[in-house]
Amino acid sequence: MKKRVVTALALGGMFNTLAWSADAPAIQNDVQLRAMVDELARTKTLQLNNLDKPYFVQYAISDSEEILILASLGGILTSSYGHSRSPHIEVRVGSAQFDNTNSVFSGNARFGSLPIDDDYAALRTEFWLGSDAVYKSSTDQITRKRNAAREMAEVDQTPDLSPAKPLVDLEPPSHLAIDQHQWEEILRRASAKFTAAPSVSQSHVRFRTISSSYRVVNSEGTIFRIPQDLSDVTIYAEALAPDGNKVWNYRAMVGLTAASLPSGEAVEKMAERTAADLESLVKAPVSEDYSGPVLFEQEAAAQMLAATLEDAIRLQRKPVAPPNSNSSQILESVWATKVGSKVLPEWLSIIDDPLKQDFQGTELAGFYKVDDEGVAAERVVLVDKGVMKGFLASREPVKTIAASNGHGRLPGLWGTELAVPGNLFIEASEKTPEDQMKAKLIEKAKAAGLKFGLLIRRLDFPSAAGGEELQSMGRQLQKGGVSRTLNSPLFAYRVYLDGHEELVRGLRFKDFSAKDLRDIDMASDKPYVLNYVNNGSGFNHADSGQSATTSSVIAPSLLLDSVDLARAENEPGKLPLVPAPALMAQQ
Amino acid sequence: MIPHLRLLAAPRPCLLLAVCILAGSWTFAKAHATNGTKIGLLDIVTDELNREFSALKAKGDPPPYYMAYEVTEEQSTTESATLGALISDSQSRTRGFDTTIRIGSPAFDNYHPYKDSRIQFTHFAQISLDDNPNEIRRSLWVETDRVYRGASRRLLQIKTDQQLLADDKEKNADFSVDPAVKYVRDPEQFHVNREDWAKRVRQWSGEFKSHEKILSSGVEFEARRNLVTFVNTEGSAIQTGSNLFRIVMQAEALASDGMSVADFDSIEAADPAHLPSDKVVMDRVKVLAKKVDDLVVAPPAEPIVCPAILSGRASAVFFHEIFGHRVEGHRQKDISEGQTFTKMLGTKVLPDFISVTFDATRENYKGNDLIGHYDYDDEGVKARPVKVVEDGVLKTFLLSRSPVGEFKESNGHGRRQPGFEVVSRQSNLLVESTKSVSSKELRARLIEEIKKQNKPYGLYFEEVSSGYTTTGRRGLQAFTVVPLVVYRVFADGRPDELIRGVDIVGTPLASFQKILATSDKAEVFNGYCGAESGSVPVSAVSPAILVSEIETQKKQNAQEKQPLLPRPEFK
Repeated sequence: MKKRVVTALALGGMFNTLAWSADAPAIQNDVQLRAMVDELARTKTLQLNNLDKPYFVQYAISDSEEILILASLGGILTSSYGHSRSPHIEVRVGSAQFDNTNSVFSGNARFGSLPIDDDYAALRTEFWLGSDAVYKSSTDQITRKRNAAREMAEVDQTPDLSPAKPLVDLEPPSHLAIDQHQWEEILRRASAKFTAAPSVSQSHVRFRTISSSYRVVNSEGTIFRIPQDLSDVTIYAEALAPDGNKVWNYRAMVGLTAASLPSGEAVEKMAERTAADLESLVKAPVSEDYSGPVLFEQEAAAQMLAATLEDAIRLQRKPVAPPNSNSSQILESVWATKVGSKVLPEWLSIIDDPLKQDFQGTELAGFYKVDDEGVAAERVVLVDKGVMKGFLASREPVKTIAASNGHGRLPGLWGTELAVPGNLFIEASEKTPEDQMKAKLIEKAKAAGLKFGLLIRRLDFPSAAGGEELQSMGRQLQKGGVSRTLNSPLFAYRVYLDGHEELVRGLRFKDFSAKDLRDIDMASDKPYVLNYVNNGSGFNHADSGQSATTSSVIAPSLLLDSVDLARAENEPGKLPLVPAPALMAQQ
Repeated sequence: MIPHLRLLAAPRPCLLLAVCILAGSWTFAKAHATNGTKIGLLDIVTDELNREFSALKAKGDPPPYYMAYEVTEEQSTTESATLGALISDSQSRTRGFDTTIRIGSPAFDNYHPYKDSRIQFTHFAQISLDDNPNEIRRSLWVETDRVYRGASRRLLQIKTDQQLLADDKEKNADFSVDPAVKYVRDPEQFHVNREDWAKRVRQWSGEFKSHEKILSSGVEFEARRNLVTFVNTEGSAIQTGSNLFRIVMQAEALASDGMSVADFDSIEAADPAHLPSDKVVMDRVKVLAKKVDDLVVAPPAEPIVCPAILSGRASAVFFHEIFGHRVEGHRQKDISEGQTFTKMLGTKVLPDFISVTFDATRENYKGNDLIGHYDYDDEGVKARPVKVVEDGVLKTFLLSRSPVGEFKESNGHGRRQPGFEVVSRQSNLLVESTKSVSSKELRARLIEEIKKQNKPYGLYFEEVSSGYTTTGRRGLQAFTVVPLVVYRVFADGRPDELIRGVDIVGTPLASFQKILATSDKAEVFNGYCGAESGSVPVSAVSPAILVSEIETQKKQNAQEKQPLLPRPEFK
């Protein structure tokens, strides 16, 4: 198994900002880079009559190999291998102060597929035609944007592209080297575990590994080739509870490469556990509305933070749009105006540090050195001792942020890049021993005059909720006038005053956002590492969207004073008329 | 719904260049044994069908009277290249099934047409590639429950709704009685050497490198093997399948006025041994490239009404569109349809020297494999030749198990793409003529006609890419075929002149009457036809036809600007 290699080759040290030459052997020997360098030189000269000229050109190729295996009840549904190269061509016209992006007319230009052969002529021809089309479309976009801006009373004067230092970093290309048959066997065995779970109506186990080399060349002198790898095993199972409500269980194990995934035996065990947990959920009573202390234990705490912080720690700007067009609703960060203000208890800090490869021996999937825009990843203190200090940023300037800190990791809207966390560390200076957290929850429940407190062990994050569940949830939120909430609990327990636990199902959070983190009352002394696939969609819905990256949250268990949850309002259907077919035992 | 015929690959650059790259390996093809005993797919599906049917008959309200499962496995290998470089090298294997549940009675069931209400119960649900009984039974169960709910909902709804109609004209029964069939034929398995084919498509596509004007081009090879397992509650059990090997080449360029010009060529075979030699393919690539070069500099067409010859391939598409779609049985029942031919049985609909047969049993025509061939249709009905028009007189329709008037039984034309509901569709359309002359003579007749009508020129349609026809009442009941290669033919002996940007327009009934004669040599067009039941492979075989009058319109011109920079030059 190939490891991510940290040393830079051929062109000198890491993040070398010195000028490079296209004749350098490392570039000459890489056909994809050479084709991009050579065609980019021509693209810079594009100009149509007196229309705007390009001031910034960036080419990228994601050269990816992917293996995907899907299995259910011991049978393989899909097992595929694919190799593809997708280009990304960016031709910005105008100037960094005012260009064709950041308006409702702007889009991200990605062009079909490139040849998978290292054929210089064919690659250059594709970039030639692609750049021509993107340039023409950019000139159209900037004209529309200018026209819209002319009609606006007040136009945001923030520039459209922040400056960045040219970066040179050539790492060895990534290659896929795993045994597909071996994983097929693992998945057959793991998925067959569900044959012993009679109430599970549907289940599958999926393995995916993507080994990608990301190459970028731009007109500022940046040139790099870095690995962008992702591997995961996910287990999904659903069942109908006796009242006709659908219940589900979802587990994801995420690593950068297949080597960092759990062993076959561990995957089988996880499948067994997923089935058993779902069986318990089917039998669990439906919870009534709850308002009181909630202990987010370990994984649930990290999931809660991943879900609430994602859009609180980046700023997004409103695109230029014709007046009253109402076409650009962006949900603003709840912390947008909080820099310098207290957003958390003073004993809590939040730091994003993409450069950490592991935490106490556990691999961090949010590790990277260079972001998608060729900006070196930086450690960013977001909240220091409870006070908001800054935001994650891409090269899209937003009011107070003039420069990228290397977090442009997913395609955003309006031709820009979205800032996405790498490794998010939640650090507490006051800690309660992990094994005392439950007792603290009971104390709080007692003090509030409740018969029990609520302990959450896992949230539906990334969400595997079905379409009907999401629609029903949307209706319930709308009814309550709620614009932001948190992924529903998958495993929530009533903790009675005598300490015994009772699993309950069917709870949804009411209003919940990063604002509620002020109510964190206690943090444990045991951090949990959550590695997850981040696609930027609402609830980080599993497998939504076209692009994904990996992030990590490292957080201890958290106890919140008061959280409101409501019983899910569903209209369950009748159970099937025909009983499920009997399952045959499988080895 | 607008039925349309298209090529195996439409001449749009994005289609060939943006092929899905996800590939598969089917190294796990051997059935996965469970507890030492191997249970075949047919047994697994039959067992679950019987279990579901008896339970639903006992408990369902309303109960079903018929059920069927159709499992389709598709294995495919694709190698495609542009400018000598491989773009896609992929293999895939998928297996899924369609579910049919009929509730009520054959006289009136959940498939009963009602106004424009769309009938769609099935969806292609993926199942295990291994013959794994646990997974397959569970999937069948989940999907059967879903389909049963939808089917019973629609039946109850239309039972009420049709009472609210002023006059429910649809008196035909909804389901015919056809015999149960047992049939097993394993289609031959050919070895496809991916490296060899990758090498070939690289070499062929590299030819376009020397054609500077061609902006987008490609050559694709695809090998596809389909395996179908069909079972129904009448006792039918069918396992059959087909092989398709195809080579598609296409090229596109921009004329100086920004009009896109394109041409394509394709070769299809059911056996790789029937494919032409590498050299023949290369020659066809060269001819194609040259043709696109010529189209770039060809003058644009002007709208005209004039006599014309349609080549065999062009008239095959013409017949498929303007005739074939209108004899599909279900269109005679659907009140929203134009029903051009519904009440014309026994009357003349084509010139009396023309007969049309749909023959799915026909595997090839003079050495050309016909991709519209199949043994059994998607309702388990045996394929048979159906003479729809004899000496110009309409005799019958293409029928699925949905009866139309006096025709109470299917004639084996119930077809679908997996995931769609079956309707009557075309298979291999064969046009026969008793008024055929040599090609030379046909051309002489064209010139005669140009002179007679005192037209500046006539037209020769050599190649068409696709067409579409609207059969519904809502739109104009017209047809369009999209010609790719058209020549002006002059009466004064000047050489033919290639033109670009021609569209044929016209209305169906009028067009049939204008066929004056045909050539004595038929040509084959293989393509994919899209309509209500998805995309299905079809063939049409026709001689060239001479028509006294054809109306053309100017093709839409996107006025796309040429690339600003010249093509990059390489040492």
